[in-house]
Amino acid sequence: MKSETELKALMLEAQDGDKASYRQLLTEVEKLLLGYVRGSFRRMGLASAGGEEDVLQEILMAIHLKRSNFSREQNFLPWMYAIAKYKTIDFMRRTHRQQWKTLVPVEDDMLQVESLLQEQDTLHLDVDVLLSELNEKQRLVFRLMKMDGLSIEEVKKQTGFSVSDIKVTTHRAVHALRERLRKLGYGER
Amino acid sequence: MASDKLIQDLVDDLKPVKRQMSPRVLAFWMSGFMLVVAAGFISFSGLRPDLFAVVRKPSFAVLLLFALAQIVFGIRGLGYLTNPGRSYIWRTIPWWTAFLAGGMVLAETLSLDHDHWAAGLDSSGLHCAQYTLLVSVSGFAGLFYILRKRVVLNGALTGALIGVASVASGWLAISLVCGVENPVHILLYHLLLPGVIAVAVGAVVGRRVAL
Repeated sequence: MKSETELKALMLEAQDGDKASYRQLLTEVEKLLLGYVRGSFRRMGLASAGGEEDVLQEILMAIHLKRSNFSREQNFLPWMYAIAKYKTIDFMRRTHRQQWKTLVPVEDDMLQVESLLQEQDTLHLDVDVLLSELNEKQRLVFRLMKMDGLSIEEVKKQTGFSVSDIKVTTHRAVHALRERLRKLGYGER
Repeated sequence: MASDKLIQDLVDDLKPVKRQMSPRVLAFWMSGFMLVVAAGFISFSGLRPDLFAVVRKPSFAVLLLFALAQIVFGIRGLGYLTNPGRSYIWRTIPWWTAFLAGGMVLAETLSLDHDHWAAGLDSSGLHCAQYTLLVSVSGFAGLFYILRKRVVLNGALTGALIGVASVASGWLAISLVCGVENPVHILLYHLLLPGVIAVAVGAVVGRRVAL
């Protein structure tokens, strides 16, 4: 397990665009965060409800999106755990508010969103309204990938986006749609 | 594990980022910006004619000092509040200055007779509330723009603090422009009404920028 100093050094290198350091950092923090999230779930009596992986991914995404916020003068672990704490509590609050009996594993999100979109007539969902939640880039990539059925390479040729950009954009689009579907009451299946 | 795929995607997506400004630098630039905007409004409206006489009154000088402290400590507090894992010992100062300013003027109003109250509550004072809010808008918008890039853990609290910090620039400007000395007018139309609106709007908008 890496020390605070090593993790901080990796984060600063990642901020400068060093992919190897960033991979090492995320792999290290994944272990720490999984323990933290599991511990939090256990303390709240939610250990059997599932969803730890979901929270873990949300935390990793938050760290990625807000990495520019980390400054040289501060320690990495308090910064990371503050985000982890907020994301875990936020997740628990949502879970409690919506009284989910079971949480959808994140691996199934993609399939779930796609199947719900295919069942739109039965569910009275308006796909255009749903997709209006996304920004222009996410909408374009999601349509091409998930509705028109193009491969990543084909989307790359059509849009000019890089492969990793397409993957991340799709992931974010699915995440946004999943949130929207949950708000509409389809997240409990 | 699904996280492995996500990690791979995040690593692929990695680009160098520009580090955000520290709370101290943020406070310096944003306070400067808000004071310049307030000065612009004052130069447009003109200073109150009795300014040089009234500025010698301790209560007036203290109010100005409170407003300044509220801006500077408010923005600096925001910088720390949106930088997880860091604490800031002076973070409650903007709230205290707001309460003390209100309390100070409220104490003055208690000794007033009925006529003063009636004059102070005159609805023509709404112009002052509008002016105060108008001056605050640019600071409010600027802070929210900056906030979108920072880590907002408690959206409502952060938004409310933005409201308190930005409305102080309006307080500062209106104190130098409006010549009405009635404490009821000052409490209601300079401090309370714009302050409550700014904090409420800040708290509502703040919830939308939370992480």
